[in-house]
Amino acid sequence: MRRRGLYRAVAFLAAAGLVAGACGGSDDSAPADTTEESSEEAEAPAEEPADEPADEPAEEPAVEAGDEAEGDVDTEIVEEETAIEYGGSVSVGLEAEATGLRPWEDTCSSPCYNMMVAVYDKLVEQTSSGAYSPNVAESISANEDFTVWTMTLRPGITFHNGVELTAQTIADMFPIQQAGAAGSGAVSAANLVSVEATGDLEVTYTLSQGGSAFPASLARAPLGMVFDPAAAAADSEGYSMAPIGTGPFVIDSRDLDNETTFVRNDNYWATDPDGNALPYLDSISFRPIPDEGTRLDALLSGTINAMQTLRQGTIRDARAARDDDGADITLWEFQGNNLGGGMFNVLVPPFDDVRVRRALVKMGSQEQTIEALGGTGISLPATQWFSPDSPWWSEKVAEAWPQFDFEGGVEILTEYINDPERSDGKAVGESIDVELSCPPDPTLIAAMQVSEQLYTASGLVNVTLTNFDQQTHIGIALGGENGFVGDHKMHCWRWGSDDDPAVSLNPALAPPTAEIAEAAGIPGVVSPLNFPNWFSPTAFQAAVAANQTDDFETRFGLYESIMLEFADQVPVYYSGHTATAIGTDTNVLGLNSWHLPSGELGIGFPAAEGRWAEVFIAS
Amino acid sequence: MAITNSSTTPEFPRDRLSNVSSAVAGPTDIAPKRTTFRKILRSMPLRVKLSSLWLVLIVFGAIYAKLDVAWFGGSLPLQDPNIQTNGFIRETGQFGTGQPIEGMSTSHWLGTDAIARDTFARIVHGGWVSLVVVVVSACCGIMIGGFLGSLVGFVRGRVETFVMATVDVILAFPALVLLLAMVSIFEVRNLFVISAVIGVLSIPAYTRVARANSLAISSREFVTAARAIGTKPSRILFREIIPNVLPTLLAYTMVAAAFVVVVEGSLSFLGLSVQLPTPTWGNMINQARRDIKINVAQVMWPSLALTLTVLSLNQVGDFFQQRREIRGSNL
Amino acid sequence: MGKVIATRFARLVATLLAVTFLTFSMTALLPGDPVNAILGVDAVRDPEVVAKIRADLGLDDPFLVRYVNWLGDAATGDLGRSYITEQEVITTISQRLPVTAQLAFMAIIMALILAIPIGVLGAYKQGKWQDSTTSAGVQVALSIPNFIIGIFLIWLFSVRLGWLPASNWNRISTDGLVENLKTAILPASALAMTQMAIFSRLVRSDMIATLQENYILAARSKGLSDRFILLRHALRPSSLSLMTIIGINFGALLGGTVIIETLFAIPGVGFRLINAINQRDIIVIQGITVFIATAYVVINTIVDLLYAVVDPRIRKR
Repeated sequence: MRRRGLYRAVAFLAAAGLVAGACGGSDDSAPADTTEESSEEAEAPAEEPADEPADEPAEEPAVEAGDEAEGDVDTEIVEEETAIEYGGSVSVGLEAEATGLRPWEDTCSSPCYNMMVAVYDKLVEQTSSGAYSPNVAESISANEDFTVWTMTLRPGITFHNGVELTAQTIADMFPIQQAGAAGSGAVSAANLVSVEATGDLEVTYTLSQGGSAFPASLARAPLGMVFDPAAAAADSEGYSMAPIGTGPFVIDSRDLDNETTFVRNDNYWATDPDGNALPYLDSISFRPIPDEGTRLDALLSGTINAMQTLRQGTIRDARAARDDDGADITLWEFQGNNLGGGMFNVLVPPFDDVRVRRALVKMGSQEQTIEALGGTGISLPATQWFSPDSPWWSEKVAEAWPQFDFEGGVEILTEYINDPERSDGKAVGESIDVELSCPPDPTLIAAMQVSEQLYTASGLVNVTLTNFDQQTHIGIALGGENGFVGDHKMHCWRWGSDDDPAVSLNPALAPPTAEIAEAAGIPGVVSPLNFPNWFSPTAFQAAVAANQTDDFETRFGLYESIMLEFADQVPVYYSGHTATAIGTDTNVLGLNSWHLPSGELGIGFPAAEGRWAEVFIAS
Repeated sequence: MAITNSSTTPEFPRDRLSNVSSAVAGPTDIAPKRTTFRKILRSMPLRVKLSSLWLVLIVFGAIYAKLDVAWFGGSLPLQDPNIQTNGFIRETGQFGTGQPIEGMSTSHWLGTDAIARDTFARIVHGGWVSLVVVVVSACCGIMIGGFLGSLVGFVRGRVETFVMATVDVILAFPALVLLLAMVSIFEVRNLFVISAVIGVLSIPAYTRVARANSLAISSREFVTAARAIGTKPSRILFREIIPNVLPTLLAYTMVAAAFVVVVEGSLSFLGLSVQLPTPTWGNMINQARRDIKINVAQVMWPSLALTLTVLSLNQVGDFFQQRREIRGSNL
Repeated sequence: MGKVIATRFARLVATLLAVTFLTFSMTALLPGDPVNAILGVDAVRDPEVVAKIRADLGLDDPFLVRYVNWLGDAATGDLGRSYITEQEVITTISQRLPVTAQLAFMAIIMALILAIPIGVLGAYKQGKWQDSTTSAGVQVALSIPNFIIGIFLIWLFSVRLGWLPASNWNRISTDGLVENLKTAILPASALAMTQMAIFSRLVRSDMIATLQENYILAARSKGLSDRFILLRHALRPSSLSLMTIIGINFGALLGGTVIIETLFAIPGVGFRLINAINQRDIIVIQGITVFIATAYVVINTIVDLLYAVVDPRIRKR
C-alpha cells in the first residue's frame, strides 16, 4: 500500500447540483469498479454516435409500467405517493453470491452491494441529483487545499451488537482498511494518510495530496461503510458470515449460495422524513440465481418478489412479460453512466499500434452489437464514459469518437498490414491475430460473434473468441506472473459509473507499470486499475489537475480533453450504454423514493443496487 | 474367474456395459462368420433401421457441411452457419435485412437464432463436432484401451494389476467432474483438445471391457491349445485374442458413442467445449435458452437433434450387442 | 472373508491415494493466479504482500511437499479454508451434502417407483405391445440428456404453468417439508429420468431370466396367481442387482448433479464446485473433487463387499 495513484478526488460539492436530473449514480460501486468488476461485458467495438444520444428520451420519466418507449427509460426518482405500510418481507434474486460481506476486504460488485447496504450504513450517500450528502456523517468539510477533511458524526448511533459509534470507531477502522484487500486500494487511491478522532464525534482525515472529491470515496464500500473494528479485528472470517453494521437490517442467517436473510433492526437510527421508524420491512433475504433467465422466471413465478439484472436482454424479456403477458411486475430501470465495451491491451502487439485499434473500432457496429445483446430499444450507442444526460457529457467527444465505417477501418488496417515495420512481427500482407474474450453470458457471446463476423469479413483479421468465467476473466486482465500487466488482448469490460469521474476515471489513467512510471518521471505512481495499460502523460496530468479544483467548468474541460484523447487513441472501445434494472412485484414500492437524513431524495437504484430501508409492500 | 462385476465403471452406460461383459462370457471360439451387410440389414427391426437412417443423415450432413466449407468455399446449397443475416454486407455497404429469432420459413427452415443465423445450417454443421469427438474417442478407446485390455487380460500378473489399478483410479472419478477439471486446464479449447481429452478419458472404459473379454477368451480351449503347442504369445495375442475381442468392442463403441455425444453436449452447454462461433448442439441450446420465453423452438431444434442422435446410437448399439449376445449364447 | 475385506481395504487406500494425488496435481495446473482471487480487483498489488500470500499458501513449496502437507491435513478432516469465502471446506461440504444427497435420494426413489412397475410389466408382457411401448419410452428417457430435461421442465412447469419454482432451494429445517419438496421436485425429476430408464431395463431383463427359472415354473404349475409370483418370487432376485446398480449410481449421481444444480441454482455440492471453478478457488475445487471421488470409491467398495457376501462365487477371486 505504498503506491499511490495520484488520483484525486474531485469536487463533489461542485458536482453536486450539476449533475442533471435523473441520472443517478452508483455510488458505491465505484472505483474500482469503474473498471471492474462487476463486470465485464462484452462486446464489440465500435460505434456510431450517429443518432446520438441526443434524442434519447431519457429525460422523460417513463413510468415504469407502461411505457415501452424506445431507449433509455430510467425510472424517475420521485416521492412515493402510496401510504407506507410496515411488515412483510422481500426476497431478492441476485446475479451472484457475494464472495464476502466485509467492506474492507471483499471485492464486491452489484449483487453484494445490495446485501451490504442492508447491513451497513455509509458515511456519505449520493442524492438523486448525484451530489454527495452526509449520511452517518452529520457534516463534512475541507480546508483550503482539500488535504484535510473534518467530519462530524451523528450522535446516538449504535451497531447491531450494541457498541456505540464514535469518532474513535472510524479511526480504528482505518488500519483494518489499510490492510484489507478492497480497502488498501481505496486508501491509496484517495491518498489517505491518516484518520484521527479529534473529538467524541469529530474525525479528521488527512490526505497526502488535495482531493476535492474525497467525500465520493466515503460514499463507497471500502472507505464509506461503517463496521465495528473491534469485532472485525477479533474475527475477520467470522465477520464475513455474520457482518455487524449500523444499518437498517441485522443478519439473521447466511446460507452460502442459497439464501442470506436479514431481519429488521428495531433500533435503527434513521427515520423517514415524516419521522416514522425505519425500516418498513420485517425482513429481507437475498438469493443468488446466476442464470439470467432462471432469475426472471423466479420473479414471474413468485418464487422471489424482487430481482436485479445488469443485462439488457433480461430487461427486454422482463418488459415483454410485463407488457405482452401482463405479468404484475415493476421494472426499476436505470441507465446512467454505465457502458459496456472493452479494451485493448496496448502493451501487446498488434494493439500497441493505434492504427489497429482505430481500424477495429471503425469496423465494429455498436448497433448490431446492441441488437445481439438484446438491448435494441433499451440501450444507446456510446461515445464516452458519460451518458447524454450527464453534465459531463461532451458534444465534441461525441463527434470525435470514430464512427462505424467499415471500409475506412479496412483502409487503416491495410496500411498497418503493409507496413514493413509492423509491430506484431508478421510478414507484410499477413492478417493480424485478434483474440477477443468475454465472460460466458449468452448475450455477450452473441455480441462477440457479431464482432467476429465483421472483422473476419475484412479478410485481414484472424479472430479467436474465448470465454472465461468472470473471475478468471478479471484475473487475466490483472495478470500476476507478469507483474500484473495482464495477459489479455481484446477484452470485454464494463466502464463508467455515476460516481464522480475522479473516482471512476482517474485510476485508469495512472501508469500501469513501474517502468512506465519511471519513464514518465513519476516513479512509484502505479495503478493496478489501468487495465488497458495505456498511459498518456497529458491525460494523466489532466486527471490530476481535475482533482485539485472544485470548479466544474475547469474540471469539465479537463475530462473532456481526456475523453477526446480516448477518441483519438482508442485504448478502450464501447458497445453501448448498458441499462440495469431491479424488477419487483408491483406491490413492492419505495425503491425510487428513499431519503437521506437531510430529507433529500437518494440516488435510487444505480447499477441495480437497491437501498432497502424505505422499501415497503403495499397491500 | 468370473468377470469382476462392473461396479467400478464410470458413468459410462453401466447397465449396457454389464450386458457387454455377460455377452462376452460366452465367447466366440469359432472364427467370426462373415455376415453380409444385407443379412444384417434384413435382421434389423424397423426402429433400428430408422435410427441408422438418422445417423447416416447426421454423418452425411456433417461431412457435406464440412466439405462445403473446406473444398467448395460455401458454394454448395447450404447456408453459412455463421452468417448473421442482419449483419453488415460488405459488397453493398448495407446491413442485411434478416431478423433475429425468426420462426420457420422457406428461407430459414428452422428459423434464425439470436443473432439472425440460420438454425438449420447450424444444426447440420453442429453434427461435425459430435462426429469428430465420437470418432476420436472410439479410436482412442479401441486402439489404446482395446489393446491394453486385451494384453493384460491375456498376460495377467503385475502388468494387469498395475494397468487395472490405474484404470480403477481414473474410473474412480465421476466422469463429468474429471472432465471439467481437465478441460479447464486448457486455455484454448479447439476441437483437437476437446476430442483428445474425451478420447483419453474413454480409454479406461474400453480397457475394462477388453480385459473382461480377453480374460474369458484366454481361458478357452483354442487358446490353451495354441499355448500348448508353443505358439508365441504375441502371435496368440494378435491372431486369437484381439480378433475375438474386437467385435465386442465395436458393439460397445455405439453405446459409448451415445455417452460421448451427451458429454460433449454437456460441456458445450456449460460453455467449455469448442470455441465459438463453431456451432455445436450443446452451445446452440445454451445460447437459445436465453430466449426460451420468446421462442422455445430455438431450444427445441438442437435439443431434438441431440436427443435423436443419442437415441439412435442407443438403438443401433443395443442391436449389435444383442446380436453378439445371441451368437455367443448359441455356441 | 477377512482376507477379502483386507484386500479390498488395501485397494481402497491405494486408490484413494492415487485419486488425491491426481486431483491435487490437476488443480495445481489450473490456469489463473490464486493470488488474484484472494486480493480481488481493488487491492494494491504490493510485491511484498503478494510474496507473503504466496508463502502463507505454500505456493512456492515444491509440489510434493504441498501434496503431502495437504494430504496430512485432509486425513484429519481439514480440507483447508476457501480463499474466497473464508469458510472451511469441510463445513461447506457438510452444509451442502444434505442437499445433494436429498436430490440424489429423491431421484433414485422416484426412479424406482416408476421403474419397478414398468420393468415388471415389460417382463411379464414380454414381446407384447405393453412391453414394446414401455421399452420405447424407456429408450427415449435414457437418451435425453438431463440438462435438456431440466430446461423443458422449467419451461413447462415454471414459465408456462407457473406451478413450481424455477430455481432455488427451501430447506426442510426453515421452510418445512412442503416448501422443500416444491423446490426439489423438478431437479429431482430431471435427474430421475435417466435412472428410471436404467433401473427399469435392469428389472425387465432380470425378471425375464427369473421367470424362466424352474421354481417359478413350479409355482405357476401350483396355480399361484401371476401377481403373487411376480411380487413374491420373481422380483426378489432382481433386488440384488438393483441394490448394486443403485449403489453405483448413487456415487455417480453425487457428481452428476453438477449440471442440474447449476441449472436450478441449488446450493448443493455440485453447484459449489462449479462456483469454485469459476472463482479459481483451488482449495474448494480440490476438497470437493476429492470428497466426491472418495465417496464414490468408498461406496463402490462397500457394494463390492456386499456383493461378495451375498454371492459366494466372487469371494474366491
